[in-house]
Amino acid sequence: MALGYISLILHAHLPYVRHPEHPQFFEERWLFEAINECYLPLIEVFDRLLNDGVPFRLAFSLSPTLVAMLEDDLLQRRHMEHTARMIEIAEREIRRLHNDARFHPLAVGYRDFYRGAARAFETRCRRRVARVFREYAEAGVLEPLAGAATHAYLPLWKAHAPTVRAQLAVGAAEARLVWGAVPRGAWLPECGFYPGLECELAARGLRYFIVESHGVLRASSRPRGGVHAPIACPNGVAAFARDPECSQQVWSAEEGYPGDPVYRDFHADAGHEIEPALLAEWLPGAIGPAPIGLRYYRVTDRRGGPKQPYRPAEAAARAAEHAEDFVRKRIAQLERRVPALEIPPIIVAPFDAELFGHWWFEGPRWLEGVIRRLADTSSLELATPGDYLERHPRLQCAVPAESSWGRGGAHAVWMEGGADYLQPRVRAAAETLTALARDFRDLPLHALPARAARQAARSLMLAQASDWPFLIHTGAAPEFAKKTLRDHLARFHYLATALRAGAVDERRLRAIELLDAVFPELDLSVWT
Amino acid sequence: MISDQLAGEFDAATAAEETVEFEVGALDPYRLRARWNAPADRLAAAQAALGGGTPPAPLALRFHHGGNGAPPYDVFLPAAAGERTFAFRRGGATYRVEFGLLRPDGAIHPLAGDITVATPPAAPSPRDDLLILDLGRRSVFDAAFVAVPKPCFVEYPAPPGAGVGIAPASLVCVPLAHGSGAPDFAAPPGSVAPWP
Repeated sequence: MALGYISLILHAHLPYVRHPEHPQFFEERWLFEAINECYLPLIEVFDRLLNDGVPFRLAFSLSPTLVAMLEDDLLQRRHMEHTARMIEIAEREIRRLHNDARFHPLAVGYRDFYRGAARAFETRCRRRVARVFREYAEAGVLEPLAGAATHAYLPLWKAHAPTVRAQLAVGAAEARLVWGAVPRGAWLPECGFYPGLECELAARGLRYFIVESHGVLRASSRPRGGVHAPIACPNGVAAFARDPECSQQVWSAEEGYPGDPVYRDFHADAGHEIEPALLAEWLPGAIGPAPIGLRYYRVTDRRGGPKQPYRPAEAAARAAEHAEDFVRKRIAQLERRVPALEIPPIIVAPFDAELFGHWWFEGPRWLEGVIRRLADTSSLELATPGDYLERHPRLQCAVPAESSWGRGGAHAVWMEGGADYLQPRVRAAAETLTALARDFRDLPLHALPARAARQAARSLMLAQASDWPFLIHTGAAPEFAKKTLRDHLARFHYLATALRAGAVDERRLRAIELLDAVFPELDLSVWT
Repeated sequence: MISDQLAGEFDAATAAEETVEFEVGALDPYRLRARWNAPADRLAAAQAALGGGTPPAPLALRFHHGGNGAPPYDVFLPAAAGERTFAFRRGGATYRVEFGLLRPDGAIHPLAGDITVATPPAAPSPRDDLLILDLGRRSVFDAAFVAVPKPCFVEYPAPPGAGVGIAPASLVCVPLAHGSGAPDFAAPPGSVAPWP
């Protein structure tokens, strides 16, 4: 008999980086790299598991902004151009390294990797990656989760109910379009929760959500099952806690698997060693040294020092060992746990999907190993949170504490260190939009003012994304984030002002519709 | 290009909006962050309403602790616009914060509405009651499930040993140092993360 359950949850999200106004745009590479390094390898893993008859069930979230980009014709075309360029870069590297026995095989490997990605994107996915994930949901191996429309960090909006409502309503509507079904669960951006949010989730028909460990541990009443039993809010919406031990094993700088010496080193990118002039030719839009995605070294030593060449076979073997280790430790975790409730425990392990393949190159192989080993053991059952609730519906009643999985466990990442750049303006704009929605929601959909009001909502929702404060706070891409946020707000301001003046310029409106091209079915009434 | 023209709309729109701004938010269980902006004309008008005076009434934030009976205390603000983080010893507390000019009689002449903010709890709840909710009695696919306006409890006696199931010490959780999106492996100096 199984000791309990484990739930693997993947959340796929990227900020909206589509820029049709430029022939090439550097940050669009974030999407192309995620497709090639994460989403396509995950598809390859899921296909292999299905072909081998391995039973599995994962919960999976695709953020609406990511779906908008994955479904976009222009970005699909640009992805193919990007991948073709990567193949060309790898071929140049093959020529450059033809006398280097250490690195030449790796360059060949990268060329084959990108050739495989191009082939999978065209033939397996027919360029529509999101549709493939829907096929898995239809096959019953993925349980879809709904999210917020533009990945807004909801605790910052708790004082503005229309924004929370609209983010969740549009997120749920988009999830229905993508998955063809009403998701039972919600992925809260950054696991950001505040008491009261469960009511908005219930109003969208969502039955459960995931919070950071201390969200449950510091709930309104002490949780008898700790992080290993969901709790139910008084309105019946359940909260599952992220298991800290799983997180530690994958994310920790000291103990985490991805920092193993034999794994590929993410930071040692060949782009830093290539002449800037050549790099500019290879990577349009790159200013100065930039990563190109070809990485020839292994981590070697977490503390620094000279790097050794990457050896893929050794890394693959280590990923298999780590998968074994992960499952063994989860079983041990449940064996030493004191039974506290009459329901079996569940270990909840949510991850950013982009961890697998991009940050952690061997991640997809590790994930596949974990799933195969879980299928082979009778001690632990792989199930989604929704499956668990179906089987074990009697839960302790308590409301999780305000929390997130960001640094410090609360909101600092999205509020300090410059992260609140323009946020008061965004909040003021939300008030303006609520008034606009009230005034223009009943107009015929194709009337110019109705189009402008809906587009104002789209631009503002894009400005509300958690990504811009995050990119500023972490210093990952602060100038890009500031400009993007400012541009979305500027478009909103133009439309709001023009609507009030009764002077919407159709040419400008059309341009904004092309620039901020999300949520074509947006219903303005969600803002009222 | 239209996209460039539209970018210019931001300055035009925001230039016309010189209003008093005042926000307070919880960063974590122990810290609040306040941000304020009192435009010069609003500030001058408020000073005049207090009868002018030399020196003029200072700008201040007044913090009222909720629940612990502590007297309110004031923080003088050095500029008409700024932001500041305030640290507290107690997590999971509620504060009411006023923003305005400190009058000679000790009251605050408000420049904006006061704000009440609660910091997240820093420790497990003192409540240890056990109430069981049976979700199986309602289906999420039943529209009535989401329409229920009030809590609907189903109580069961606690199972034997439930009260000692988990020691308070094991409820203490230190969040990991990382934020979302990226492992916290140190990047080499000068390297730029290519995506969030």
